[in-house]
Parts: sequence; C-alpha cells; structure tokens
Amino acid sequence: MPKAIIDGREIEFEEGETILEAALRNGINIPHLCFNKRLGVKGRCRQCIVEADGRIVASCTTRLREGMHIITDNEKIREYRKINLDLLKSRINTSQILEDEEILEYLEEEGLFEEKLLSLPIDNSSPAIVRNPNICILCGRCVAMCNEQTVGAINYAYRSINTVIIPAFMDEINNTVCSTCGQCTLVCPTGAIREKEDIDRVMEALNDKDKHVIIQTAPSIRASLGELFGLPPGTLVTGKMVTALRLLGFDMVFDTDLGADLTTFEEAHELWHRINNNGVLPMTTSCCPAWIKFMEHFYPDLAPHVSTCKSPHEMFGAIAKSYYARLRGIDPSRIVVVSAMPCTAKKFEAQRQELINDGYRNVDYVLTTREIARMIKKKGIDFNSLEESEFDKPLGISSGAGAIYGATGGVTESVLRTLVWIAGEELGKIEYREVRGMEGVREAEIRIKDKNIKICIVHGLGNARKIMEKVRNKQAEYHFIEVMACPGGCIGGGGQPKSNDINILRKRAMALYTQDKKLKIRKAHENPIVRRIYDEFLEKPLSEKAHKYLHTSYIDRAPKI
Amino acid sequence: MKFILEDLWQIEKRFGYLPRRELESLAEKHGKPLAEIFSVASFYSLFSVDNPPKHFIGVCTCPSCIANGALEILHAFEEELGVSINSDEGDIRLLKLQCQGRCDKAPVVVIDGVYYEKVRLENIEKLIEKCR
Repeated sequence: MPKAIIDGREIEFEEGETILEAALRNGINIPHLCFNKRLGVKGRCRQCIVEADGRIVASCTTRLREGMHIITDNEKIREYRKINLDLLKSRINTSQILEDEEILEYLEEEGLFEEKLLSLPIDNSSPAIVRNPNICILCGRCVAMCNEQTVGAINYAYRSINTVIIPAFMDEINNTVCSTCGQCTLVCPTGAIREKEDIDRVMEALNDKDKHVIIQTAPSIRASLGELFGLPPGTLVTGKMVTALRLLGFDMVFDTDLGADLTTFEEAHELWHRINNNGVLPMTTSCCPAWIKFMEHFYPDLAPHVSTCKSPHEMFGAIAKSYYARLRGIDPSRIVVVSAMPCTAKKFEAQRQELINDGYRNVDYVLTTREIARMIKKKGIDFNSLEESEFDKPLGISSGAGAIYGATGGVTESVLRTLVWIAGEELGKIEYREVRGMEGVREAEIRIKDKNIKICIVHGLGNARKIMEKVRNKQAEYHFIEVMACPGGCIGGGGQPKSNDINILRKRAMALYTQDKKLKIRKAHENPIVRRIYDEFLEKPLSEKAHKYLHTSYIDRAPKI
Repeated sequence: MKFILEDLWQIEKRFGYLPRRELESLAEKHGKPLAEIFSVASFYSLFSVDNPPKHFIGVCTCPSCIANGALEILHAFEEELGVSINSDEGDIRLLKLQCQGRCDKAPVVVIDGVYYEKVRLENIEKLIEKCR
C-alpha cells in the first residue's frame, strides 16, 4: 500500500483516496462542512483546506499521492479557513440559527466582512419541513440528498451572489414533488431546512385540562432517542422514554408497536387474499408516508399495487378514537392523539384528508425524535437518571413483530410470521434472517405450504424507483415488495438524531432485533390486544369495519401536461 | 446538459422567455427533475425565467468590458431609458450580463439576441432605436 505523511504520522492509503477520507479514517479530524461521507464531494465550503507539499489545497477534492506531505493545521491554514468561513457566513443571518446545529461550532468568532444579510421569504408551506434560505450557506448537501432520493424537489437557482437553493420557479416546497422524507433535514449543517416544529401545539393540548392527550411512540425511536442524551448509538431507552413522556404530562403513554401489529395482521390477510384470488401483485407496503407521496407523484398508475392498509400510527389513532374511547367512556372529541415518530413525512400524513374517521383526525400531531428530546430538555428532565417504567394498558401491549418495524425488512419479517399462520402451517419460523440487512435492494423466496412467496425489500427512494420501473414494465415477478423511503428504514428516518452514518443505523437496527428476541410474544396475531380489538370491535380481518378504520385510499399527484 | 441548453434556446427563441409549461415538458422529455432544469435555465442571464419583456438589453459587466467602459454604458442606458437594472416594469429589461466570451471586442452589448461589439457612449441612442 502507498504511504503518505499527515501531521508527521505515516499513513497507508488506498489508490484514489482523498486526503480528507484518509485523515478521517485515521482519526485525524479536518474541519469540513459540505463534505458528507455518503453524499460525496462538493468542494464548496473550503473549510477542509490543508497544506499538501507546501501548497494549500481542498482536502476533499485532492487525492493522496505516494510520499505526499500533509499539514492539516497551522497558522496560515487557520487564517485561510477563517476567510473562507467569513465569506460563507457573510450573507447568512446567524441570529436565526437554532440550537444544536452543526455549523454553530464554526461561528464563535466575529466575521471579517461587512455582512450583506439575505432577507428571503421563509417557506412554511409544508406540514413537514420548513425552509429558511436566509441561513443557507449553499453547501449543497440537501440537493445531493434530494437527488439521491431521485425526488429532485430543490436545486441551485440563479447565479453568483444571487444563488439560492430553492424549488423550480421559486415555488413553495409544498407545491413540488417533495416526498417530505426529511432526509435533507438530517444533513443540513445550519438548520436552513428543519422539521416543522409542533411542540407548541402539543403543549397547548397538554395544558388543556379538558383534553385526554395520548402519546404513542414509534418502534424505532426507543433505539435512537438516547443518542440525543449522550448515550451510545443502539442503546434501548424504552423505559426511560415512557417515564419522561409521563413527566411531560401525557395522560396515556402507548406503543405504536400495537399499531404495527394491527398493520401486520391486516396486511398479511390482504396479501394472502390477493395471492389466492388473482389480486393485483406484487403488493407493496404502505406504512411509509414518504413512499406513498412519492408513489402518488411518480407512479400513480401503480397505486393498485399498494396495500390499502393505513400506517401503524394512523391505525392506532383510528382505534384510539373509536374502540379505546368507547372502552374508557371518553368522548372522542376530547381525545388528542400525538405520535412520537422518527419521521417528518408523518407530519404530512397526519393532515391527509383520507385519514379521518367519524369526523376526527386519526392522529392530531406528530413530533419527531428530535422534538421529543427538545421537549424533555426544555422541561429540565435529567433523562439519563430517570427510573424505567412501562407503557400504559391496554394499548401498550405489543409483540416483537411490531418492534422490528423500525428497520428495513422488519415489516416483511412480521408479515411472514403471520402469513405462515394464516396459511395454516403448524410451526411457523420466527426469524427470517434472509430478509434482514442493509443492502439497498434485497430479494428472498420463502416457501409457505405449496407456494413460493417471492419478496423484494428496498429502502431509499432511489431504490424504490428502480423496482417500480420494473413493476411498470411487468418485469417484477414478486408477490410482496417492502418499500421504505429512508435509507435503513425508520431507524434512518428524517426525524431521527442527525446522522446518516451507516454504522449508527446498523446499531439502531440491532437494538430492535435484540428487543424482539427478548419478548415473549413475537408474532402480531398472538398479541392478545390485537385479538381483543377484533373480537370486540373490528369483527375479522378485511371486514367492513376493518376497512373503515384500518384502510385508506390514494390520490394521483402526477403533473397534467 | 448540452441538449437541454439547445432545447432551452429553442423555447426562448419561440416565446421570448421560458414558460413554465414548456420547462415541465422538457423535464419530462429528459427525465430530469424540474428543479434541475430551472437551475440550468436560471443560471444564464440570457434566458428569461420570469415574465417576458418585449425587448432586452444586456450589458456585459465582466472585467474586460468594465475596463473598456461597460459601467458608463450601462448607466447611460439607465438614464436614457428611465429604467433600473433588472426591473420588471415596462417593455424593456436592462440586464447586467456575465462574460459573453468576446472580451477582445469589449465592451459588448446584446439587444434581443444580437451582439454589438466595441460599443461607445455615442452609439447608445442608435442602439435604443432598435427597441422602438
């Protein structure tokens, strides 16, 4: 292997590796703003400049050569970095940058240049994300991310001093093909794109003594919330999370895992019904709202392929305001359902007109993992020293099948566990390791009775597009396709702690599989509450009542040219 | 991207600006996001992505043209026409242009797509007549 010297240390590197990559790999930190491991090189921010054999170069764009001599930090480099940074920030309104943003550590000193602050309109149009172009340093990570998702809702526009990152024709983001997946919010270093905060509206509900405020927590956030309190990635904080939510004043703390069990139960029946009655196949999952919006924009002709099941938290909300309301004798108008989700798209989903039953929205407000952490911190709760406690009954009982929903492949595995039971096989397998993993597109074939069930699992909208093209061209000979818009599934969701590092995603997924293993009930259909809800309320899977409360419909958002 | 530029030129020539519906079909044709087409279109000051003026006068304001009096010419246009740079009012839009690649013939003025090279202050009145 060729060698080079970085800060006096001899370092081996691979042919073609850049200075920045080799340095980071060896634990030498070079400041960088626009570079992101997964999104690649842009060479815009010029913070990663180093001295290479006496010349100042950008370390993200310069490849190492044999015997190269690199200095990553000296007075001259620091001075140049400062000038570059000052140029970057000379037009942004730093007072509008909120807490916890990556760029803050760069902004301590005063700038050298006269500030010519931007004053462009803030785009509040989307229920999921907010764009504030006035604090955008044009690093381009969001554009790269949006293009990687093959959505392309935003791009650079205009030129030179007038350059902005914005939708075509300066449209509001809500009028574009934006899937609301929120991956851009994970990579933006300044918070120029952030989730739309719903904390105030939730607090208002909590302060209203007349309201019965329920919070339900998504499978994946218990595996990531701890990171925002300094715990290592992959720490399960279920018990502390429940305690913290109670301290925040929620009347009931329930588990979306139950909603996931309901989804599994309905969806497995729907799949089995389609397979045995010449229904439209392949059937795709429907629990990811960003995927649904993407489908409605780009593949509305394929909507019959999409399962009509609502997503888990919407099913949960529908049950909370019907079955649970009756059970507890609470008028549904007094119930407020808040969802703690890893997701920005769920905010969009909660506002869909299709997700209303008996005149009530299934879900009223959605908070992301980041907002939950913000609320806990604002309240002054010392999260790490909290006692653990359990979800409230009865809607807090769930199975391992619900727990693994948060990782790519999880929905498939849960559906398989129940599908085998529906097919009448005595001893169904529990773990289907063949559907786990982080590959963007995975295929598996599972034999159930006399049938070979062909499965495809994709995550990341770019991969979803590849498979949907196949479906459109009738080249996809699958029975079941699981689609998650975010890389890694919900554990990598747009509302999660900011990171798109694949190793962190793996640890979060591992935590969910460990939780599944520890649970006694690991199949959705064995969840006693699921059984009770059907016995006492929904009658049977795919019944008229089940359709009313647990299924939904889609609309066509394709441009009409 | 080369083909997109060709197409953008055709549309600009036909309509005098880039209507939204045309860019939407262009995006469809090339299988590119609309935001990317808009990004290209808005980068070049000779494409007009906003409402169409009847005429437009562009003055190159890159170093070579400035060194040869482009700013004086720009201001003379402003005064004679009574419009400010980039204003949306009226039939004529006055634009600052980025380098047109004719630095040897500086300063360069472009009126409705026609290039005028080595422009002098005394030519201005004649040039304005082209728009009347």
